[in-house]
Amino acid sequence: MPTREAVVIGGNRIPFARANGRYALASNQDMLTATLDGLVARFGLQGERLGEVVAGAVLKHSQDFNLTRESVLGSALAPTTPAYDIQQACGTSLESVILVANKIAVGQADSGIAAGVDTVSDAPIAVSEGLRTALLAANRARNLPARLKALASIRPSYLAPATPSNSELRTGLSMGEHQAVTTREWAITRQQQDELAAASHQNLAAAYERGFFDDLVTPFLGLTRDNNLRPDSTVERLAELKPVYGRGESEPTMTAGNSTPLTDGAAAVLLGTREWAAERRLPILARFVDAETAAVDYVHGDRKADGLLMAPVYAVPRLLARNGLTLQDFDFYEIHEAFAATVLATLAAWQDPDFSRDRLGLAAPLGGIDRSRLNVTGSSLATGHPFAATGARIVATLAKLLHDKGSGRGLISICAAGGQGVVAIIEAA
Amino acid sequence: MSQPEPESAPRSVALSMAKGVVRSLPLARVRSGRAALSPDLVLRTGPQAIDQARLAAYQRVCGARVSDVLPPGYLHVLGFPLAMARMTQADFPFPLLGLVHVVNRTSQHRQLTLADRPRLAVHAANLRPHRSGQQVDIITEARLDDALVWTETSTYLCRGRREERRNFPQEPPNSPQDPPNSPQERHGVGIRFQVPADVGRRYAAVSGDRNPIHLSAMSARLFGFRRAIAHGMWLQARLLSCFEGRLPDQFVVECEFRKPVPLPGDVRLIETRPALRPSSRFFELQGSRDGRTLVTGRLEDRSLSAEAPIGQA
Repeated sequence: MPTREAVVIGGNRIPFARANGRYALASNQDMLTATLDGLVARFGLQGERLGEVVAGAVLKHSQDFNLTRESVLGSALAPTTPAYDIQQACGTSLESVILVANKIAVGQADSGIAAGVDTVSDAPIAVSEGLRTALLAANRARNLPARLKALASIRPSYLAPATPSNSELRTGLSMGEHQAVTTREWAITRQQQDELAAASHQNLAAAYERGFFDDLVTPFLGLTRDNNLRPDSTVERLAELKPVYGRGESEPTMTAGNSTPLTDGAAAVLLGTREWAAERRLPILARFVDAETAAVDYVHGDRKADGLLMAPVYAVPRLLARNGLTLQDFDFYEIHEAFAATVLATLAAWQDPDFSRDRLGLAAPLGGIDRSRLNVTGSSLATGHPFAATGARIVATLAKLLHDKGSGRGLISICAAGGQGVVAIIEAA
Repeated sequence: MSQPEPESAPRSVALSMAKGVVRSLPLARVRSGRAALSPDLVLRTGPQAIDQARLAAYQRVCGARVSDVLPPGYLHVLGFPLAMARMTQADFPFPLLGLVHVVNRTSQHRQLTLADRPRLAVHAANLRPHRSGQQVDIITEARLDDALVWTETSTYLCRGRREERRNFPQEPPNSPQDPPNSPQERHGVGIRFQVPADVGRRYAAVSGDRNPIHLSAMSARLFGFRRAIAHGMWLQARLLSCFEGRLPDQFVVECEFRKPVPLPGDVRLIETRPALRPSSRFFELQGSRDGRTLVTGRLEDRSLSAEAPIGQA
C-alpha cells in the first residue's frame, strides 16, 4: 500500500509541576484543554476541524472516560474534531503520536494532535472494594430486607478510601523497587546514576536559558518552567542523598535525585501531511519514520533480562533491523529517564554480547552510543514525568532539535508500566 | 506603576457588611430612597494581583476550567469589596440587605489572565423606579494601564414596602435587552445542569458575597424567600461555562434574573439565535420540571463587530 509522510509540525506543553504543588487544583481536563488551546494559538488553528485528537491519561477518573473529546469540545478547535482516549502507561502519548502518524500515512487523516496528560495531585479516589461490593449488592437487592442485609455487611474499615498506587498489580512492587532489582543485576553504580541525573538538570537548564523551549511551552497557573528543575544540580550534591529504593540490599544506589518525581502536566504534538502544513503556512520540523513496541515477562521472567522497564531494549533492535539502521546511525537519542538507572541498564544491555546473542538473537551487540547525543535538552529526571505526557514532550523536543540542526535522525525510547516499551524514529524534514 | 496590591482583604467586606446590616435595620430604612445619589463618587483600587488559589476555587465553583484565563465574573468578585463600600456610603439610598440583583451586563473588551494586574473603579448611577420598587446601577470598570478592558453594570432592586412580600414581577418594565421580535432559531438541544444545594455558601466563600438570602433557608426566610436562592453572579458564571471554547475574546453577556432560582435546583439552558444577527445568541434558563423562565440573557460576540467597546471612556 502506498503511504504518505506524516510530519511533526510543532508541539506545546505546559510546564511540568511537582505533585501537590502549583497544579494541585487542576484536573486532567483543565491541563489538557489549556495545552490544546496553547497549541491552537501557536499554529492559528482556531475553529479548525482536525482529522482527530488522540490523547490519554494514566490516572483517570471514571467520569473522564471521554477526556480527550471533552477537552476538544472545551478548546478553540472546531467542535467537529473527533477524539478518542488511549492509555499505555508512560508510553501513552508516544503511542498516540504513532496512531495519528499511521492514520496520516495511510490516508485516513490529513492532520491530528497526539497528546497526553496526568495529574497525581488530582488523583481519582475510589471507595474500598468491600464498600463497592456491598453497595452493588444492595443495588441488586429486590426488597428492603435484602437491601438492609447487603448494607449491614459494610464494616467501618470499608470506609477508608482506595487511592491509586504506582505498584505493579501482579508483583506488588513499586516501579522503583522493580528498577532496583534491574539496577543491581546490571551493576549500575550510584556514581553513573548521579552523573546522568546531574546532566539532565544541567542540559534542561541550558536549553531554557537559550530559549529553546520558548515555542514549545506555554505558561500555566503561574509556572513558566518545570519546577522540578534544579539548574545547580551537581554529582556532589546528588551524592549526599539517601537511597530510597532497594534499601534491603547491601549497597542501594537509587535516590530521590536519580529517580523521577511524581509530576502533573500535559503535552501535545501537531502532526499532518506536508500539504496540510504547507496550505496553512505551518512549519515542518521533522518526519515520523517508524515505531515499534515490545513487552517483557517481568513477573516470571529473568531477573536481569526481563526487568519491568527493559522492554525498549527489545523494541529498538527490531526497529533498527526493519529500517536497515544501526544504533550508531542517530544524531539524537531520547531515552526516557524513568530512573537514571533505567537509561544506563538499557545502554548496558545493548553492549552486552551474551545478552545480545541469547535474548536479542544478534551475532554482535548493538554497541554503545555517543553519550553527548543523549537527552541533550534534559529529560524526565529534570522536567518531571507526568506519565502520559512524556511521549509528546519528547517528540516535540526531538523534532525541534532535528529542525534546528537541519538534518539527522533521532531515536525515542520509552519504558512503561506493565513491562512494555514504545520506541520510534523521527528524521529532520 | 505602583506595586500590585493583594486582593482586597475580607475584613473590608466584613466591615461593609456590618455597616450594611446596621443600615438595613427597620429604623434606618426610613431614609430609603430619599437621598440624592452621587454618580461622581468613584471608589478605586490600585493594580490588583490575582491570587491563583482563589481564582481556581472560583473557577471550580462556577464550572469553569481551572486555567490562566480570568472568567469575566471574576472581576466582579475583585470589585465586590468596592461595590459593597459604595453601597454603604451615606448617599446610597437603599439598605444593603435584601437588595435583589435583577440585571447584570458584562462587557469584556480583552481577555484577562492570571498575569494581569487590573485596576478597578466602582460608582453608582441611574437611580430609577422599578415596578416593584426602585433600582440602581452599580458600575464597575477594570483597566490595564489606561485601557478599559472590562465593564459591568449590575442593577439592584430595592423592593418597595408595599411589595415587600411579593415575588419578582413577571416582566420587569425596563428590561433593556428583551429578545427582539426578529425570527429566533432554536439552537442546540438545551443544557441541563444541577444547581447544588450548597452552592450559595460555596460561592459566598469564593466571592465574599455573604448575602443571607443565598446562605440557608433560615437566613433567606428573613427576607421573604422560602429557600435560599442562587447568587445571580454564580448563575451568570455557570451559564457562561456552558459556552466553554465558544467565547470570543471580546463579548457582552447580559443576564436578567427574572425569578429567584431556589437551592437546590434542576435547570436547563435553552439557546436561540436571531436569524438576522449571527453574532448574537439569546439564552433562557428554565426550571427543568416546570419550565418556568428563571433567567433570560444575551451573548454578543464583539470580536466580529466594528462597534467600539461599550462604556469606552
